[in-house]
Amino acid sequence: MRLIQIAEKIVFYAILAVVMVAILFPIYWMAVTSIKIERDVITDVPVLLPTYITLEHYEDVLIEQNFTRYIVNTFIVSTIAIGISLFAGSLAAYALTRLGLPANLDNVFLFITLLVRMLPTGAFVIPLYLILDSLGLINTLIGLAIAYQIYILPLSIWLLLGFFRSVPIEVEEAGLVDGASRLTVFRMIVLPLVMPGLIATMIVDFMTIWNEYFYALIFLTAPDVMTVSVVIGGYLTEYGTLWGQLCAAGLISSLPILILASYIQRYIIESFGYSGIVR
Amino acid sequence: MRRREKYLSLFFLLPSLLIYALLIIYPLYETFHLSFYKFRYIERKIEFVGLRNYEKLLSYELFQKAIINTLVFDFMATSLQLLTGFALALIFSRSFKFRSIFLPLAILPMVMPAAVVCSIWKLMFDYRFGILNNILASVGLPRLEWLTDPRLAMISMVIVDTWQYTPFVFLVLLAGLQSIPRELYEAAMVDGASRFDIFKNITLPLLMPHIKIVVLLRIIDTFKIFTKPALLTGGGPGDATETLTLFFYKEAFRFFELGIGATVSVIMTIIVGILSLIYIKRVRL
Repeated sequence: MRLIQIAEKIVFYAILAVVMVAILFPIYWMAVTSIKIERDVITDVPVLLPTYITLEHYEDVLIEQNFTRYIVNTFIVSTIAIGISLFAGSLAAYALTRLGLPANLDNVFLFITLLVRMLPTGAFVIPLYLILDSLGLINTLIGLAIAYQIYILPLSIWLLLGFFRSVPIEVEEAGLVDGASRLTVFRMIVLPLVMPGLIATMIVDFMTIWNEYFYALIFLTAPDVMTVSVVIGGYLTEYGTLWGQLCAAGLISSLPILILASYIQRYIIESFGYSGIVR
Repeated sequence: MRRREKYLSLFFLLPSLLIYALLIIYPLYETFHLSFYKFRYIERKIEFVGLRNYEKLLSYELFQKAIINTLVFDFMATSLQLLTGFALALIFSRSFKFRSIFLPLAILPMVMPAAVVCSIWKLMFDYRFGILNNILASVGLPRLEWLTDPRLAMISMVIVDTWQYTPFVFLVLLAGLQSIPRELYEAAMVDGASRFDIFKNITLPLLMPHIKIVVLLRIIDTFKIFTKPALLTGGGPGDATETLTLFFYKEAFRFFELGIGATVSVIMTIIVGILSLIYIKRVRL
């Protein structure tokens, strides 16, 4: 009996090891390729540990190719887009959870969230292109931030509804009794209470935008406004064999996401589980 | 007071409703509307053509191939991801050493930018210097043309997509597994049920709602596949990995045939709608 248990344990850990290698090796491979010299990349025998560590690819990407500019661009788009959607979204979530609206209004918002998730990405994009073009907003970061509302506003409202529901209503009633207006209560009492929720929503939104490729490719064609995904896509399709640089750029642009994801790791693990709707 | 509350709530909802109306509802209507027009955006020429866009597309071989490719990809990727995600969830539903370290590491692929994921895999798929072929060659197997063999290219897409989205299926199913009450397992053990029986009679039925939902979500999401074929193969070799969203992108934003693009979107909406409906009916979701 004991022997069987030990054997089972060994098998379990062996499977676990294989699975974790399959998941993590590609990421390791990118990281290690980004610091390898050419001789270690262009080879018939895979070099698992670099013989010589170089930072030249990072230099090339950050200084020569001006990659920081694309990082800044992506941050700007995210900031504007998240600003709009958190503003509109938190007001809506407050109204839906607090102001005693007819209950089926919730369902309208749920329906739109599901609709956006279900429909093909192209279903909105042509009219949107025409609108933004007529406003002169193609190839601008603001234009893209507006376009992203299609994804992140329904997403934000959906997440915020959950957070607003978890704030006890008595707290604000006390404020209302004291004669504060709804807006004051909203700003001074409710918003601070849902702050952790706002931050989590912000990060999920940020991850969505940072990783997005399709809209960014359509709405940004001028080199100076591109976001990191579009630039990496360009590296890949135009001169796809400068592996060192490609991997350095890939690692740099994954870093903000990895840092933020680790910050809300528990939330991701739980929320993705319970409401598969996210993303 | 009541009246005022009502106006107030409208005021709170206004920004969101405005954005929804302008960016979601109107574009949906307008896409449908544009599908009846020939609209060459570069020349700003627009002309009503009735159903001709639909006729043209449905008899166009590349478009038919794109429909088939997308459905094949959807089916393969969803099935494979269900298997790998389920396996991973079973592994992580046990307690073991360092579980709390491995769990966040296991979901990393899902949070990485799709363009970066493509870069990594293009590096590994490389015919001459990619690590996959180097490993194959070192054990005496022939090198594979992962992205350039028409029979293999689609499988390679499935591999990349599975690597990236297994964690998503995994998380949903893990939450499901953890919501099954422990007592059920204990009672079954006391009754002397075998492991297989427990899996078949407790785990699987109680996990079914989660499985049904996550499969639906993967069917819908994989149907939109764009970044991988766009960056790894460009739809090639030939038309082997041409998918509907890629086809849409080329028509609408390379050739600026907006009427055709709109029609592709409408057809895609119809297909994904039918697909979801059949699925929902079939599994009684």
